Amino acid sequence: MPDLITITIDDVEYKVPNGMLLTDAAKLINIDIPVFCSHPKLDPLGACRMCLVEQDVRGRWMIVTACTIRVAEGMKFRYASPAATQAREDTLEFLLINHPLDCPICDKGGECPLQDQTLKHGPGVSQFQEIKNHKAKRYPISDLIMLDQERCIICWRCIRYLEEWEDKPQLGLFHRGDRSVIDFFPGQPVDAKTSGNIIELCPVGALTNRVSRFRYRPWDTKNIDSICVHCSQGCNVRLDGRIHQLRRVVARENMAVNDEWICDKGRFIHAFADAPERLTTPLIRDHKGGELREAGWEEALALVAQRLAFTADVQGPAAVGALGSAKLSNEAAYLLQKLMRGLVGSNNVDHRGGAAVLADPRGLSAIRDVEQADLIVLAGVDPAEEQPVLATFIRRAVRRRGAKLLILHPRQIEDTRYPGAYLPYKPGQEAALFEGLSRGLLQEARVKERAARLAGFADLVDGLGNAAVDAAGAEAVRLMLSAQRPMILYGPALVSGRAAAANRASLMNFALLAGCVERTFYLAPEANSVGARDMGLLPASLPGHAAIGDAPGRERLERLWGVKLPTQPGLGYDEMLEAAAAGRLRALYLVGSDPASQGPAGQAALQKVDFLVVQELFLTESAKLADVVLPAVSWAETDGTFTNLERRVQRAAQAIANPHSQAAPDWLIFTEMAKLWPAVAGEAKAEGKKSKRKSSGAARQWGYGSAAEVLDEITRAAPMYDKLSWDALGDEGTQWPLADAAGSPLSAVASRRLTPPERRSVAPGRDEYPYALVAGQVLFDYGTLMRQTEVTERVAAPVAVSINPADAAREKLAAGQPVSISSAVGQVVLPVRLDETVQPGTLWIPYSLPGAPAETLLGSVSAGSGARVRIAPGALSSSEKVG
Amino acid sequence: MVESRTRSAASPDLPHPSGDPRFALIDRTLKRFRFQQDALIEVLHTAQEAFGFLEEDLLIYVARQLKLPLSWVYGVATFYHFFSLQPQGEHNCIVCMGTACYVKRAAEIVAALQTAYGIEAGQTTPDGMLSITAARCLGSCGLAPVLIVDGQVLARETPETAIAAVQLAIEASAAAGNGRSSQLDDSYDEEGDL
Repeated sequence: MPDLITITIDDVEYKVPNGMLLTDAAKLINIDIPVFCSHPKLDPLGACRMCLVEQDVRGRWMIVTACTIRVAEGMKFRYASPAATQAREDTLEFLLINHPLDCPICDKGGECPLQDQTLKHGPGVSQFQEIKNHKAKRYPISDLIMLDQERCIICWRCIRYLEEWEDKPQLGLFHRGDRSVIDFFPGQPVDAKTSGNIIELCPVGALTNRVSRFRYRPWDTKNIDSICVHCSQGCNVRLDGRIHQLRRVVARENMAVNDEWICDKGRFIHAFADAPERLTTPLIRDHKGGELREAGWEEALALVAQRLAFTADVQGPAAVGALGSAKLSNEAAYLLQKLMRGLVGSNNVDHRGGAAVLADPRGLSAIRDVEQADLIVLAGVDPAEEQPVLATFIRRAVRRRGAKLLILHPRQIEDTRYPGAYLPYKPGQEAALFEGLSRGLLQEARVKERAARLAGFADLVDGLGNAAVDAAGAEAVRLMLSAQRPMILYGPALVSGRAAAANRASLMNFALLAGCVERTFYLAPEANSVGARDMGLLPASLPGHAAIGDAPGRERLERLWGVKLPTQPGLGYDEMLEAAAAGRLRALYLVGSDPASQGPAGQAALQKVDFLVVQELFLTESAKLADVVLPAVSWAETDGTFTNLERRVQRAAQAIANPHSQAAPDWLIFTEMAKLWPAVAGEAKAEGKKSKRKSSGAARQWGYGSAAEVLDEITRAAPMYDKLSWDALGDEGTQWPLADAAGSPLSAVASRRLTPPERRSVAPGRDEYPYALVAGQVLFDYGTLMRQTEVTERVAAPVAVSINPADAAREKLAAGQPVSISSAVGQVVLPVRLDETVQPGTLWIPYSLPGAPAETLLGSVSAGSGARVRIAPGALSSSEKVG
Repeated sequence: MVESRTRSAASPDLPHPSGDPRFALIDRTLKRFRFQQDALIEVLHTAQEAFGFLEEDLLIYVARQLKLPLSWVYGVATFYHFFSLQPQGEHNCIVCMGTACYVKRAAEIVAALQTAYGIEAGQTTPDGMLSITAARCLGSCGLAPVLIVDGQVLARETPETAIAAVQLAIEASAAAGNGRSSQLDDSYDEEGDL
């Protein structure tokens, strides 16, 4: 309960919380003081003078700015007095002197605070008869944002956002007086990853969205609350649609998830939802080697159902597999695995980054917890590229609360600019790095004393040995020990690949020794990475994380689904592709996954399967190889729920629909396909004839009429989703509780046992492959969804291999020169880019570049994020041209 | 506005890679103010005196040394009329356009100078001899209209006397045969119009 004080406004006394800004306090008592520069998420400034009121200062009434005054007992103000009103009117008149009256073509028109305030508080006439100042009207401050300097009223919100939240003060106020302009230092345009928020902050139409410019009028769009599906944070957004198209995406406030910010990927990359290249009808290839032809839904679905059922009958259910995606909604993921398990009878179901990653399904405790930490350990994650809004919260913790960052990453990522320590490593050295840190911790008596009580302590000490800890490691240990509220965040790169188990064990040992294992959190990568696991889109676990071998869990689902479930764990993503290449997997169903775009190995595997079904938005590389292509819809065109990295289940409601397309939501495709399944259809027919044979009700099992009905079943299938129905989720979503998961397989993750380190034979970097390849996520890559937005080319990561300048000099490579890079499994040609943030001895290639060079060199998902490679000058010949 | 920055970037004491001895002057000022961020204006003064104008490279150098955002340094450099981002002419004529001078027809002086030398206020003649600047207020309203020609304050000017004074300065240096004489007297207050 904040202590209340009494202030007087216009001779009326009010009780308001002490220390509150006058503008906010006035809002509580329904006095709406107009503002431009003041914003609840930005520090008070008092630049625009719009909020002028009178204050009694020792008996004299003075004009003051309400947005910078913190109220205290006994303060007296006048808001409606003639002097105060006149002052605000004059301010508005001055602001309008040089403001162009181009509202009819201004994007902000209709939702413009300047328009609104002018109507409410303005004088209505202008005494200004001279010529208005002319400044730049189409002035790009980045590839994504256009500035109209004439419309700008110098409120500093954009400058302050970039300074206070992004810590990239790239915009400034240049010149002075009526010549003042917002601008950037020559040659250094805005490149902050969440820069688009300044468009929304702008109280006039000075900053506009270059993707959505002139494509909407605020009163003319149908606005639907949804969430962003580009990364695992699940930022709340509003989708503004008009005549069946998604015209713009704006942020929606959810204090628990994204405050009121979204990143530039979420804001600008949405053209894929209405791209003309979208698939609009099912396609069928009548015989191998033939062309894809357009077909009706009935024919396509019946063909898929019959062929999958036939393959399962003849070759056995294990010959059928399905690869979903962590971008699918919970409903789609749930039905895909239900279809595979219940109708095909196979556990061959996985998604990229699924079984191959030793993810902690509990994810992050809560996103905003990062702001309370005083030391944040980033282990193999780069939130600035992977979860940019989370990155702004981390920066906030650093700058406002003095948190320090301990960064362990193969690249010197941007946030290494902050106080703390940076420990570089090469892929493959993760476990050794954490073991070194554990050794360092154990040199401290109090750590040793505390850890001695933990199981496995003696073996750990024995295994760690007593090698010396280097200076950087010692500094990291010192930071760890001096922190009161440390928090460890690690990403999929650390816990995937061959060394996943050893890496995670060494990380957990470190966390246990540091006494911070409860505050060690996994950052899931994709929009529904957590949800896909919860839904059982994995070869060895069922919805609700019940293991395949766990009989009670399996029987519960058998009762719910009315079928017998297979008891053998299925194949994972890579294993399915290997089985396909070896001819053991005969039919493959791809839903939102595109193995063919991940290099030649994936393509070869898909070419070997007898029957390939691809359910997609676009004719992807994999879809081009398919026997049946089923057109699906994007997240904006159907209802769905997604579970973010803090286990928050959130709704993404349908915002648009394309009347010219036959594409259907995933849940509907699965439902209709199931009804055409030979067994189900036969049963339905038998029921129709009132046969005496007792039906198991399989047909009724697939009678979903909406995504919400699928979610209803999920609430029964996955215990932690209990009570999370569509209506119950509300506008802000709900975190599924960890408490209910006690006793479930989830609690096993939180083992308080130290694991002795694995004896590794230290493989020295063989001369044949002297470099370590580092691959990883960047915000703007060349993925299928990205390619549909025009600006992507300009903001995307350079298509190149990055190398440390010292290595380049030794290899005699110049920037821009094409080089060939080869690993044991692949070879690519890319131009060289010199980059000091790349560690010597490593090469950096982001994922999802054109031609998938990183994926080609890695060979498979389970290779993790690193491989040994060599580099040699090589020309781009026409046959191996990349991209 | 600017929160203190504790970046672990390159050490601030690194000299400018060009080895230009004029950077040593800037470094001296930086050290004198112990790299404090609020010494920005002093450092820019030194930079402008040493180089004649503030080119981008110079601003980047100052920003790095003081660990200030580039946009901040650029904002300060453009705010004050004393700082010039373009090369200045050998001779410099500043006409005060503050309220008092304006009322006393300073605009006519500017117009006359512009016609006489064929350049706009804020520009430099193509031969690099003369820069004409219109200042907001030089804080010497009692002397209105005021001119500053090569650092010398001239009071109660008319268009004719202004041109004569500028011409005199140009001819004097031509006769003396020496180049630079643009040592501005920085005693006046650039913030005078507040």
